[in-house]
Amino acid sequence: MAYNDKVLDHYENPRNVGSLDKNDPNVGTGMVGAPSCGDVMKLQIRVNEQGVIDDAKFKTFGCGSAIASSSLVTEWIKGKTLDQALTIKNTQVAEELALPPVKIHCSVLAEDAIKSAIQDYRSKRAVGGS
Amino acid sequence: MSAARACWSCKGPAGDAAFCVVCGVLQPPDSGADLFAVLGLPRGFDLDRPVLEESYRQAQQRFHPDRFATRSAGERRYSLEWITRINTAFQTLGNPLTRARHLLELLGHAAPEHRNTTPVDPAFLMEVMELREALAEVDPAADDAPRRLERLRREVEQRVDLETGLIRDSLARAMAGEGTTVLEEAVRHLDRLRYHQRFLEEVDRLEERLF
Repeated sequence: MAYNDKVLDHYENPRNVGSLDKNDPNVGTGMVGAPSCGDVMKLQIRVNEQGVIDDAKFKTFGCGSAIASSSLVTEWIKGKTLDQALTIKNTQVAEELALPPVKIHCSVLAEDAIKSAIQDYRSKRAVGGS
Repeated sequence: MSAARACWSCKGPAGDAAFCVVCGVLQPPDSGADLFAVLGLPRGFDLDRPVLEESYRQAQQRFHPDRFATRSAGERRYSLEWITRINTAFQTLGNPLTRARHLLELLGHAAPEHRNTTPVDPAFLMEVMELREALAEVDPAADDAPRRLERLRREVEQRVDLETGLIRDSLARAMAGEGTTVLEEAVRHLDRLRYHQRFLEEVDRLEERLF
């Protein structure tokens, strides 16, 4: 199976690889995995006082499509509010990267990672009381 | 599997056996059959490699197309179908992960293979992530690379043993008739096992490049 150019581009030059401090109250960490292939994805967001995602980082161990999907969504969510980020659907990711049917689950993983990071951020804020 | 199955050749009652009890002609394999039965093994998670290999060898001999070379076209075709089933059984039962999945299927639980995302256990995924990071940090050119790879392999192999033991327990309890929560447990440990096996495959790949 040949990878699409956009997948290759994100795979070879992944955007926003790295980590944010997971103990920072402004940082939400999402961890998701795909047991069928053993892929694991960490996506972190930092949210500013206006409730806008001003930074996003990811680390993915998995196939090219999983890396490309997470790289792409970190680009997409930067500058968005949490609610806007939550509207991103895996189908948009799959379409943008022209993922074949067997790789659709990689885009699902990326969508789940966003949700998981936002949920983590929100539960931190709720506990922190701010 | 229906006991009332009629022999395709003599139309007599073929029973459950591979060969018609009346005319002795080879019957088609039951495609839905339990792969343990294909190799004449009892259902269960515990299976010693030598026992598996011996039953595989015997089954291959029994159904080998050479033995049916002078028989009817139907029997020749069925012997090929049997050989395919026997190979599938050997492959599936030879790996603890796929063996456990097959047992789960037989126990009426949907195969976890087709579920793609986990109901998240972030703490476990974090451990996997940390292990993968440690693996990524191994510099293949460094002198200590083989030692570090071995240490990571041993660590993950211990986790494999732990999960395998838990899968064995939950499957044994499920087979003893304890309900679906036990099966859910087995599925969870199977998922974890998959991550560890994937990790070990990565270690294998790295070591191949090293030596």
